[in-house]
Amino acid sequence: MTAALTALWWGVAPGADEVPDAHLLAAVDEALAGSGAGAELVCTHVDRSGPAPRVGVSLRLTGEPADPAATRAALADALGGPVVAGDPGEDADEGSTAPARVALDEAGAGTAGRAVRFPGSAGVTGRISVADLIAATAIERVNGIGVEPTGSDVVETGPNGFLRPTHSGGQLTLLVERAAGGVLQPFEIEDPHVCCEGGH
Amino acid sequence: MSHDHDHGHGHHHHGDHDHHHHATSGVEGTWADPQADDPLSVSRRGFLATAAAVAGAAAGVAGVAGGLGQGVAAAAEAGTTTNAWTGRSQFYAGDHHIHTKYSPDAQYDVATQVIKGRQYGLDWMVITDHGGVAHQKLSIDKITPEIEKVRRQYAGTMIYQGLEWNIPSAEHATVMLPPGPATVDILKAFEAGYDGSVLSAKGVTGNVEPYAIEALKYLDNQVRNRRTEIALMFANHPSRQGIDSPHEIRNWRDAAPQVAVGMEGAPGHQAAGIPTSQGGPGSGRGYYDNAGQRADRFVPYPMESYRTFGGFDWMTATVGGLWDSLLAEGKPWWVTATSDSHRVFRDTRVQGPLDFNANGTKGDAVDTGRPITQYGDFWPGQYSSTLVGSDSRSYVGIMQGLQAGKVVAVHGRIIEGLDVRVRSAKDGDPQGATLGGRTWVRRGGDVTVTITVKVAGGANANGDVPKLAKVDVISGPVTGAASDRDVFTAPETAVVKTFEVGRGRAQWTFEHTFTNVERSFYVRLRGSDGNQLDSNGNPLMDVVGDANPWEDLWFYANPVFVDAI
Repeated sequence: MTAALTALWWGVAPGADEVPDAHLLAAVDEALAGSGAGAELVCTHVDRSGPAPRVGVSLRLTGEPADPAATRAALADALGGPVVAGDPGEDADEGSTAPARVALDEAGAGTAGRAVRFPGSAGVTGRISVADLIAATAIERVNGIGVEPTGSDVVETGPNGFLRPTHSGGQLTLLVERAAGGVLQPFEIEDPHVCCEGGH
Repeated sequence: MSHDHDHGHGHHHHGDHDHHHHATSGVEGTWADPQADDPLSVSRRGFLATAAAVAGAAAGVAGVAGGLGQGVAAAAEAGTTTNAWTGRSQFYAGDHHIHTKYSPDAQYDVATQVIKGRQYGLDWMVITDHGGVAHQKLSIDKITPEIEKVRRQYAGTMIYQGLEWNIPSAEHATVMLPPGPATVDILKAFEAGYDGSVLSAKGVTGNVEPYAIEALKYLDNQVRNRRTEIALMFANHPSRQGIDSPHEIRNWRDAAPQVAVGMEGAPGHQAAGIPTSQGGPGSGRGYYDNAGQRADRFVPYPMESYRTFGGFDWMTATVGGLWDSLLAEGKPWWVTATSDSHRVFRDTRVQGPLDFNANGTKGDAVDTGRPITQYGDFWPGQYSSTLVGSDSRSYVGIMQGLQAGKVVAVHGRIIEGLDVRVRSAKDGDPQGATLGGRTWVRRGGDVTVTITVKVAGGANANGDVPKLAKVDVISGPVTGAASDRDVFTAPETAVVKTFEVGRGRAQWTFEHTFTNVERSFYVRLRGSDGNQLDSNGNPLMDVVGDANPWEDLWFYANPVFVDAI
């Protein structure tokens, strides 16, 4: 990564084991509010280097915040864990920052990570063709599970435009599958069945 | 799951079972102990037993330490037959995965489930409410008299008390025991000591895979200690979240081969796939509708593993997939079909009003008078059934049939019975073996599979008379213990023959001969109504929101192993 690029990417190691998407976005936006910068790409990652997997978060900012140190501190506070940027040599404690560093590395290289927000995501709802989805958003590729999508195939994103593309092979990739009515749907849907209603 | 491997290698199936107690003799005698139900005591003892088993494996007697016993295919010497074919096999239909109002997400009383199961033709049922702190403390004591009462009311039906165990670091599993003086004590101790949810509430974190191994050894020891005649475990909805890794499944199997004997070939919740356009919930069959988002998933599983195929779990439905990779080791691992019945499609009732954690139950379900189309389950036996061959219509007899793999998983009454005989009339045992069994052939000889399938003699619960269109014969070589415990493919396993099934007869007989057999192998069967097949005759990946289970029926039969000697 170039120095200019690294300045715009931050990694976070949230304190909680699981961070629901809505909480994550709310926390990020609250921390960045008034900083002069926004988070245009927010991804979740999994750090599997330790004995138990831990979630990491990567952010790509729209610009340098006016007071980077203060904004980083606000973000660390909002997500309950350390924020890293740039050179790993700066990390205070490698153990606690590992998920943040994994997130930063994976997002920068485009090898892994699940995008909760990405450029163009806010403008998509309902049905959209594969070609339009690629044209209108940061999604670069649409891959099918059990189906080979073409540009004219239609993706049903639902009333909330739920899309969670993943970094894969350097491209932000949306996985889709067949859906009722001859359309496609994202492989990850907004409301999958939760077993035992969280009781387990 | 975790990537830490437990045992280095599995047990060779030709191990000498006569010596199977020796390696654990250091702890054997300590099990006959009044403290055996103290979960803490149980845990400590369990870990001692593990140490013994690992030491045994290191000394090169792994097959001995693992406790292989009589009566299962894997224990047989080459040149012997288990599950000898008799032509008189009697099948009993059942369901090992049923919830009641003693689960926080279910609602019926035991009698309701049993009455429905009987109505749909089931002979045996296992009540498996979710493990958890409140269940362990409160629900077991409440459901026990209810089960006993229903047993007395419906004496012709076998109603097992069981548990849906949260396997530490993995999915759920059925644990089932026959009724006996210690059954409830064993279930309570097991849940207190080894349920993943209970352990988590106690603050036990990190890699908890060893607790699953200890749990299964605990059950195995209850059998050895004669506190119960038999105890079984089946892994439920194994692919649903990608957290039953291949090495965990192998470790469960090898830790207690007489207890951990299989998995749901097809998960329950089959009505969940009925499209909204047909008045259904519009979810995925089995509620297999997630995208593998769990951080602790087994990463190498492909995305399609999170879906069902023709209603069956990816592990079972994939020819040359995970199930075949287990069978290629020459070890037993059986598949079943269950309802996982919590709340039934179009039933009019909702959960009772009680606080589950305070009461161990939601209380009696409340009738709304209106069919609820969001529910994704069937009644026990309404769609799924597990046919078990047994010599006796008894609690232990059915469980022995399950343990021995005399099992066929059936959806929507696509078949009613299946007689399978695998033998080498000239070059081996002319009697041969049936489902779950093992027989033998001299190298270079022929082995014949004779299949008699009884097709549906009437309508299923949807009012259709299903038509079996084909039977596939699937076979692969037995290649021995997997060197990579996380392997989930068996590249040499394939469909070797497909029989088309005609119309107008109650039963059909097919025969397939494997000629010039040089390698040990296994053979298994599946069949379909032929409605939804890919170009190779395999089941299609079920579409989330568009998968009416009645329009895509399959059965899967368990394998017969053939030793080439």
